[in-house]
Amino acid sequence: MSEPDPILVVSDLNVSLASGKRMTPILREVSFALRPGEILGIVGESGSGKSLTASAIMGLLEPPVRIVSGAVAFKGRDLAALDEKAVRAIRGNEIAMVFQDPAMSLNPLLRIETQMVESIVAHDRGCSRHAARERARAALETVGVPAAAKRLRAYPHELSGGMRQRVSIAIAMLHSPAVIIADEPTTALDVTIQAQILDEMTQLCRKNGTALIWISHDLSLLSSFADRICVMYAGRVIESGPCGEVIGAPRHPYSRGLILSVPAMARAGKDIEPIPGYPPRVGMVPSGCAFRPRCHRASPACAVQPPLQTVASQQSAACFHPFDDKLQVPA
Amino acid sequence: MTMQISATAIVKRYGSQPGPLTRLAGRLNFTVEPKLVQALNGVSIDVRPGEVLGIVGESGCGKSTLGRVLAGLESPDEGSLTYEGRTLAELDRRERKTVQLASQVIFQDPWASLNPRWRIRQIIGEAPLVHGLVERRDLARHVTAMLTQVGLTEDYLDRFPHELSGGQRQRVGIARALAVSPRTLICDESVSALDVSIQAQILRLFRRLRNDLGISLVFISHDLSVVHNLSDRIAVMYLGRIVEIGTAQQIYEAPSHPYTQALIADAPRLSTQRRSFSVIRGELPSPYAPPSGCAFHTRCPKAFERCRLDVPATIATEPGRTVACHLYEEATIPA
Repeated sequence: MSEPDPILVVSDLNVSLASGKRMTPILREVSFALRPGEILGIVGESGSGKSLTASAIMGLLEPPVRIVSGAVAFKGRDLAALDEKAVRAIRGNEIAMVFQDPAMSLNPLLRIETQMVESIVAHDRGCSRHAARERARAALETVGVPAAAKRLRAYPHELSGGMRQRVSIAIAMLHSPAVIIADEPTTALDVTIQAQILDEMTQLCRKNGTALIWISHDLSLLSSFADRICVMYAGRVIESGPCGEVIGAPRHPYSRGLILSVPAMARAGKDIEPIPGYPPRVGMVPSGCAFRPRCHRASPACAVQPPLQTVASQQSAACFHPFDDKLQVPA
Repeated sequence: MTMQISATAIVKRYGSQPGPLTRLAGRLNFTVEPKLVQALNGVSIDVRPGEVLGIVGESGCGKSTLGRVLAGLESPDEGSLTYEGRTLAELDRRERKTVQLASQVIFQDPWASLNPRWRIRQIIGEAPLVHGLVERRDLARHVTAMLTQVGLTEDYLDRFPHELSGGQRQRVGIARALAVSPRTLICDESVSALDVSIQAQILRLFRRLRNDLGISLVFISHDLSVVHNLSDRIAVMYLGRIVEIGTAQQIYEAPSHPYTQALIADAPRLSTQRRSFSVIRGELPSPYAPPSGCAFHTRCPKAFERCRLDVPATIATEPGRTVACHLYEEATIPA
């Protein structure tokens, strides 16, 4: 069986922060492809550029941050080259986004119904308000909101955090988008609620063939449902590959360190293996491989940026000294 | 064994300040029931000398309130607290101060818990100086020693908090707590705001401090995997009550209470294979109106009639292990 063509291709994306004449690069040569129905996990620590990647894809970058070079191709069209009007027809309709904090993406002054109907009518002018209300109710039901008709009349503050996040997921799914980008959508939620939402959202995406980019700092979370994983460090993708391989046999020393930092990797009562040092701040990224000062495998060769290259079938890493053995990951 | 801290049947309620309408109603001789949250509802727990006691639970379960009560930052409405076997009431002022200094808190947010206008030297040095634990001329040496203990150097003495990263700030917060030679550190979500790689460094530091200094740690977190790694014993809380206490191994490998089981099943785990989640449905009930009987019965897959009616008693199922669930009261197990 041949793999379907990717629906979203990000290639060599460079994003910089302009201050006066100086350009500080914050995303460098970010490349990945997303196939229809695929779940791609993007993992990284704060400042790694994972959320910025999402904003760049959505065309939500605001000056002084802008795309310097590279392309975001959605169904073969470069979004970065389209005008605002054309992007707006795609954003929210064919590519939707779910944010970490539903309190920020929902308007506190409008009833859930008003917000959902507005979104339906904005992209589907022929839809009557009555039909839109019916669609909104159905959408809430599919994401597991009980008593949906009643919740439509509620204001965001009347709902719990989990319910609010369900509403924003329902809004994202209103137009059956081909791609959903979810930026830490469950980070603010309790464990049991996170599990429910994760379950519902991934099931819906798999059922509808929606491709999903799930951005998270939590590798354990991603490892339980992602098809592929991209690891980012200091604005760069440093490793990517099928989830099982990246977790079970990480090639890049940073990915490996990140996995060994997960408490479950140390037996209870044993020390965790931390990565020494701290991640670089924006604008103070070391030359060459940015991980070099924290890496015990670094050599003089690492003063030059290693390219992201294939290290195994479907797995690539940006490292001159990649690991090639497996990790013992507890079942 | 004398317990470091021993809490018995602690109750802590928080009420909202009466609003203007409530006050008016009061003047007109109407009674309005004040809205009360029972943050702790009869919680008993011991902190043993030199142990790491983990406290886990979801938002609103009362874990932070318990931490604040154990630290002496809040006084309980009911119940008793003893420090090394003595209640605060038995102590004179000097002794009370010593006891209170012996429990120090490390907070979640390293950005909010350090004074942004003070240098690190002052942040760490203030308490030991004020409480007369060190002479002024020895202060610099003392502060440097504290910095070294948490993996920082004297280069940081004259820096301001904004010059440090999140992980470094959390280290300063720990050094500040250590500066008054505490016997217990109460860590309230102390690693939750940190990145995974930094979190691992701080967890390692906590373990080292416990081993080197022999202090007790009360480690409060919503993240079971973090608590499991560090703790000797774990207490699981749900809506103001402790539902289960056991060793880290017992809780993690053979949880008794259906809530603990759900918490472990739903927690993200690193794996190379896909897995499914969600064994319990429903939302956390509002702490303003907790369900009758066992507070978990609304979400519990094993709930039966009695769970709706009676609050389950805490029973010991093995030495050192307690659970509050009707399933373990043999007579009530449904046929």
